[in-house]
Amino acid sequence: MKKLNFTSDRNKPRILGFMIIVPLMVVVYQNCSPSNLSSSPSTSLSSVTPGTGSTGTTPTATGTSAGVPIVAGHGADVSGTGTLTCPTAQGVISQIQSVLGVSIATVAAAGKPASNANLAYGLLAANLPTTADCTKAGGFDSAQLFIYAACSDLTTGTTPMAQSKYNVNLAGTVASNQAALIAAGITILNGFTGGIAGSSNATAGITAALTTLVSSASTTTTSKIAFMDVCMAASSAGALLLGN
Amino acid sequence: MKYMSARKVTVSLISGIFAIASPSISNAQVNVAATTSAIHMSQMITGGTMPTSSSTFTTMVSDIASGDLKSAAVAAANSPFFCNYLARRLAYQMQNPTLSVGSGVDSDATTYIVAHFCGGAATPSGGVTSPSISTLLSENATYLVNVNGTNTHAFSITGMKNLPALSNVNWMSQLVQVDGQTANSYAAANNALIPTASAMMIPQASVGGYATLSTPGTSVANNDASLAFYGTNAGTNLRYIESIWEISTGFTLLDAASTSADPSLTPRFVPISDPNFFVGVGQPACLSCHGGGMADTIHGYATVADVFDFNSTEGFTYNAAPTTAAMKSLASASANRALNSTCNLSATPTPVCNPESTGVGTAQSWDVGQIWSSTGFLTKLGWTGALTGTGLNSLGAAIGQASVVYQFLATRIVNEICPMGAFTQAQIDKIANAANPNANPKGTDDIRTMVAMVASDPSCQ
Repeated sequence: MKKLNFTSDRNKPRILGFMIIVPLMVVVYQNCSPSNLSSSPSTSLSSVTPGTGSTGTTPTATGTSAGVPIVAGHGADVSGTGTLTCPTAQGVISQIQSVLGVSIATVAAAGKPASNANLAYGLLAANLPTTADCTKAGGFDSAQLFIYAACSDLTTGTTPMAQSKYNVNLAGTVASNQAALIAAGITILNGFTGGIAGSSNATAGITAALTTLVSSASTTTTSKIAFMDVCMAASSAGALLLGN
Repeated sequence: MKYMSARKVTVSLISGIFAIASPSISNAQVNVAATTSAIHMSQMITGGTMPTSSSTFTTMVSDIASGDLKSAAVAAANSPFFCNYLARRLAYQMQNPTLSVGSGVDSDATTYIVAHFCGGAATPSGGVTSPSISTLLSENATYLVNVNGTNTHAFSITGMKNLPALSNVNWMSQLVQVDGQTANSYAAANNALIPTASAMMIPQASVGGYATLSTPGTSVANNDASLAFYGTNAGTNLRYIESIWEISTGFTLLDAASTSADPSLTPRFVPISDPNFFVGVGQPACLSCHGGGMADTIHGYATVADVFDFNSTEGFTYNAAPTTAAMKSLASASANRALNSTCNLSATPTPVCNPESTGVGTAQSWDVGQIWSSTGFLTKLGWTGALTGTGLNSLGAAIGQASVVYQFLATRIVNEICPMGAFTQAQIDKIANAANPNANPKGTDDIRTMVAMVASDPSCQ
């Protein structure tokens, strides 16, 4: 059986942490729906009479269509404002490939191993999220593992993409790479957010968070591990949470 | 270890972005509110597969910034990213009555649907196809993928669960329309066990659009997850016609059932001696579905029962002149077909059949007016097409004119891209009519019309 060529076993506990945090992320995001950010009028969930959900009672609309049963969408089954969709496997994989520049199509060839993303996809495909309906969705733990594998692909090869694309010298110290590591995080997040991460009032806060992450590394932490953390944090936020 | 947890940083990053994402905060570099809305809309319509660096995304941001959500949604729906993502998901779902995406296998059947959702496929005459919901079950064509100049069956590119190979396919511009549909010719001499592989054109009258497409050469062991496989592999082909109805209309077997049917309308293999035949005890009466519903002989079963099969080694087959031994309408097991054809209930052992059944006949006739006119089910279907015909093709064309087809698609789109939205029946009808070419005013026959309307609806923002 093929084994993933991840950079270090020490990241495994961190992956577990990601698995735990994902549901929390969704909840956090629920209160940060884009509908709060848009100037367009929204009737959304706040304008419908809550259904009883678990009892299966059909929710009904209020306002101009008061009392009329909702026949599509869950309506008020989930509280909060705005609508919510969850990323599916194809969306996650496509975004990760596009933003990070890795490919799950890279298979093993003479003198060249398959990408970790390819191997991870082969192992995880059946467990990745299949539905956009967040009341039924699952598989985000597997999506986290896929992101882990994809990020690790950036640290392999003679000239790793961490260096060629993100200017992080993996042989150097974390301190010497601090600026590049923070910039890498911003760049990755920019890919998911259309530039919001690096060109808005969010930039300062995001930079501060990444700075804390990078500068709090212990003296024994390698730049490879630091880069993995930056990549995974930014990619997880971008592919699994934002815009959904 | 004092090393900061990456997950905490993830929280911080999310918080950082959303903390500033308010319309009240000015931003000289990026229109945060419009960009955030565009990301959300892209997630709905393209699953987030549209890169934020693409020109279409830029257009969406611009449209949203000017308050035009509808144009932004149209831009996303008209992009290849919609075809690559949502159109394919909807196509996967239409290969089984549970509407499950499953493992997402691309086949000739799914490619056909994607072509009908997106248009843009190259035609033999040098043009490009237009989107068409109404001909999903009737166009006599096959759609292949142009891979570096070679027209290729999608299943041959992908294999099972081989998403990586598909990531670079443009499911709009790379599609190629080919006239006609093929199946392997049923080889009676070998009783379908090891037929001679001989491809033939399916007669126009029996072409059922995507429902009669299965990748040539696929076997049971390497099936392409198409509806043709699902419907015709083993059994009696009942699930084939049932699935066509259920997937098209969203109705279940019991929605269409009626006990006001004559036993002569049930297939030959349904045992009239079963205690539940006329009156069900703890279950619906057999007669209600097999005589008055989707599973009787007159509501489409005759169009598929005896002419289609799925061979264990060579896949989807067409039988132009079925013999008794090959008639699946008589029994699932070929050994029982002659017995059931005779159906002598005084014989020993007693055959399990219905001697009153008139069978499906050889004309492949269908008549939806019988029973369904009087039960009101035709009204529920919004039926506007022919009431009678011969062959699956004419039935598929008539189904494509039923308003429920567009209403069910609209409902599916809502549940797919805006599952927490709130749509009333009146809203669904409005969205459906906008795409229904038989509505007044005439709709676009384009699923993207519905997608854009749903995605730009206030309850989905």
